[in-house]
Amino acid sequence: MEISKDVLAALIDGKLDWERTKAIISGEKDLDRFDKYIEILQERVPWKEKIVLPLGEHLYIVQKDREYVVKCDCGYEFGDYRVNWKLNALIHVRDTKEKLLEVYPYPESPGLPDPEYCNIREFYCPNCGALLEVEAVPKFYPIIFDFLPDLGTFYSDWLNRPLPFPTEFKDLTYDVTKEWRKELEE
Amino acid sequence: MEARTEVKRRGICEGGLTLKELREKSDRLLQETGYYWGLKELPLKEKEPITYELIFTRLFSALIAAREKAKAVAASPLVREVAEHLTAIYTPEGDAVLQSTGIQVHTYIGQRTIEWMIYNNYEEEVGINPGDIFGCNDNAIAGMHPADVFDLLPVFYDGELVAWVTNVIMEPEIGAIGPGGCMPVANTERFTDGFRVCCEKIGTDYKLRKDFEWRVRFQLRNPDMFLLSRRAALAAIKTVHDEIINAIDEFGLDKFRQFIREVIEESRREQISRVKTRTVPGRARNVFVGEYYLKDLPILPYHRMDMIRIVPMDVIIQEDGKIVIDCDGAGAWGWHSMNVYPMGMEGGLSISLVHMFAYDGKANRGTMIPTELRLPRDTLVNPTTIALPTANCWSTVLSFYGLFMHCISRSLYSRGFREEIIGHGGGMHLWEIGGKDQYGREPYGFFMSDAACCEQGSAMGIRDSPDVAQEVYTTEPDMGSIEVWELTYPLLYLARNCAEESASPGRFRSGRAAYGIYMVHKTDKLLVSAIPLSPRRKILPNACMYGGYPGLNAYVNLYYDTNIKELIEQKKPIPTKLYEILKLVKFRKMEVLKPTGMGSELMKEGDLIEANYQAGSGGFGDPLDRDPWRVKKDLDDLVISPEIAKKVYGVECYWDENAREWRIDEEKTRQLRQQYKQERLRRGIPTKEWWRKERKRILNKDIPSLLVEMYQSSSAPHRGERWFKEFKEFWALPEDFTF
Repeated sequence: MEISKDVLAALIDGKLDWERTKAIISGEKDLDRFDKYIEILQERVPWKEKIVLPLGEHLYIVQKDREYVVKCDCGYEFGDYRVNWKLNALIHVRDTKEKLLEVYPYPESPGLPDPEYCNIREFYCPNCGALLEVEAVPKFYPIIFDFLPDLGTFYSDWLNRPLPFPTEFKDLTYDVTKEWRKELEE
Repeated sequence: MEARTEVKRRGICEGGLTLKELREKSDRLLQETGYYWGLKELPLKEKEPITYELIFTRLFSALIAAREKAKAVAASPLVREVAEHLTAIYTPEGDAVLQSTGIQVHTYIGQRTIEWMIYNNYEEEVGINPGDIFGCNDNAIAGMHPADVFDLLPVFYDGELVAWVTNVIMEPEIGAIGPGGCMPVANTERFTDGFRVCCEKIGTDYKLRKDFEWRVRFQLRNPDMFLLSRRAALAAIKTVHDEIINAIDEFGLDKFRQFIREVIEESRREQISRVKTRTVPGRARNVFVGEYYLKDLPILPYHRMDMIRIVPMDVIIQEDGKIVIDCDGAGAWGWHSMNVYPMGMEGGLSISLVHMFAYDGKANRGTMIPTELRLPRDTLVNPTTIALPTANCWSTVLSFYGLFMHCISRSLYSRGFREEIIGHGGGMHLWEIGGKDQYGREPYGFFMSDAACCEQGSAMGIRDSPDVAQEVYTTEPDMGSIEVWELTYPLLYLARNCAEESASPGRFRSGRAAYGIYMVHKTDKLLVSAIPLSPRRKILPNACMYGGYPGLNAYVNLYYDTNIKELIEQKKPIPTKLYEILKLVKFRKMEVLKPTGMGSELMKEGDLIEANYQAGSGGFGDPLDRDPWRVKKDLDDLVISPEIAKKVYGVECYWDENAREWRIDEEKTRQLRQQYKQERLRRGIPTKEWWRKERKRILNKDIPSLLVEMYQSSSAPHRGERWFKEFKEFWALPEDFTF
């Protein structure tokens, strides 16, 4: 099913009428979706780095020199995409009932979490203040690395156009926490 | 013995093969060639596409028609009202071929039931003959929980077994321990889990056996409903059986055989193709949490303990398009009814794939071939004993796979297929009731299912999720008619509506969940027991994406000795919204039913039950990015309050009395949103700083005891060696750190 760039832009913005949306959901998928999608997003960001993969509502993996880094649409860079970007964000934990009621103003509700057990962690962009992710986990659960894409395989094997610079599919998050520990010891 | 080996019986399958030989042949061909049944080509589909599609349509229509027929025969409102059933076709050796709509979570499980018969030599020792009906609801063999009852019918053509047809119906009462007898929580061993049919021959010559009927009559509280369900199932499977015979008459046995193999290989290829064209390879992560409060339950003293368990999930999309789910770090199983066996996890995966990829009516065994579940032994998702009850195994399956869908959704988002994004908190807090019904009958027991099929979904990638319109285990949610439920339960509805607090915020919000306010009616003996489809009270499910907020947990409140009858008689306002009971009604006692608890007292005429069926499904995207017109619409539709509009969405609005609608002040909204972002920058701290503080608390063991035990359970080397290693690496803890 052919979908024009305008229609796709309206679709991802949630502004396409239901009749056409339903037809897209039910129909054969457009095989050039990814390229059109990237084109639309690239036109919307104020910076020049090439988007390699969208990672969230404000986040993109972009090519920066010979590396691939996570970048917010405001321009803030979080570093290598293989490190959980949340480590370089601002965090706010709703760890009291008062803080929970700011979002869930239902003081009588037995459905509220117990802040002694549950962390509602909000991650903000340190530059623009966009709320990039919220996670609800038991206290002390490691920050979740929501999605680590296998960029090399995706471009080489699935899209048949290798990335200009090779990248290994590897979680590098713990290299950072190891450094943080060293700083504590110093 | 000697005579038996000498006159070895010819097998009942094609070419005189035994069922076991056919099963082994199928497995060998897949293993050796990588193609189902070794089909590198699909000659029927490619050279005779019309015939191929005609056979498909013929069988698929028969399945849909058969399922509808069952609705007309059954007495159970679970079949008639909410269609908690499914009909499916399998190859002789048990591979799922086609399924009707409905509770498709069971399709793959039917396959395991047939495999059980094969590997236990039913062909020779029990006998599989035309007209035989087999029944099974024993999850130690295959299944989710005992309430899901399978009826299986072999299809013979010219003396050869050519297919199986199965039907599965969820029963509202299964002879389990009270009060409800369906999904009891006061149930810690399989021996109180209800009536079991252990893959048995329950009928011959297309009729139920008399001895089976008597066993049902002696073991269930409501045997008539159960037996009518069996007849409904028989009507369905015989309908499909006959249509298979007709199709073979018309197209020939060779083409039928070819079709059932090719359609499986087609689905295998389609699954890989859809993954490769819609997703991005890589690893997505999430974690399931279950809370089990058993200390106060009337159960065996040595099973009375509270516990929390996690099941971490790594969802890996491999280079070859295979989806792997690795649950390293899953917590230990326990003596409660919320464990799930691997076959139940397979069922959850199969329906999730239908929701996300294989919704063309051809989901079958082929869809599941390019998947792998890694379930460590001795865990909640792979227990080491069959002695456990599984009445509430859904507690784990629904939430786990709701979160799994979030994982897949992240790669759909990255690839640009935002319209396919779905997710779920996974299950609300249901309840069942027992005692005496409104007709004076006892013992009475019934699963309270009006909201079972209709949950709130998490926000989708391009829109809000519709209200009360999504369910993990079925593709066809329905709440049924209040009037029918009022005939079934000794309860009257004061209200059934969508709950305001359930619309989890985000750029796109979750659907709203249903709530109900019920008055106990014409009984003085009713006990309520929780059905923990959302086994959470303290922790929310991580079912939100990209800045949307998680949804709240479900709850059931019980109000004893109220003055509601007086209010009705005096025509005074009665509660129709959540929390209105607190404002309008006098009562002696109110209690919050624990997700794994029971009412502390009997309820009687005029007592009230308030149930908020939230599933914890979450929002999508930063709420400050929500189009103000959507906020206005939500205000006009009474979906959210002005307080939420301002505090959460940063929208300045006012009520226009003349136009009778809400208006948005766009300039003030812009300023407010900017102000909120500045506040975030002020209150947010660098993650490194937070990490240091939390790490210190871990090292000082400043952790609630339930969480300590939870982490201990997951860090045992045989359950979570890799997970615990990563836990220690994340917090940069000493190598020898333990909980």
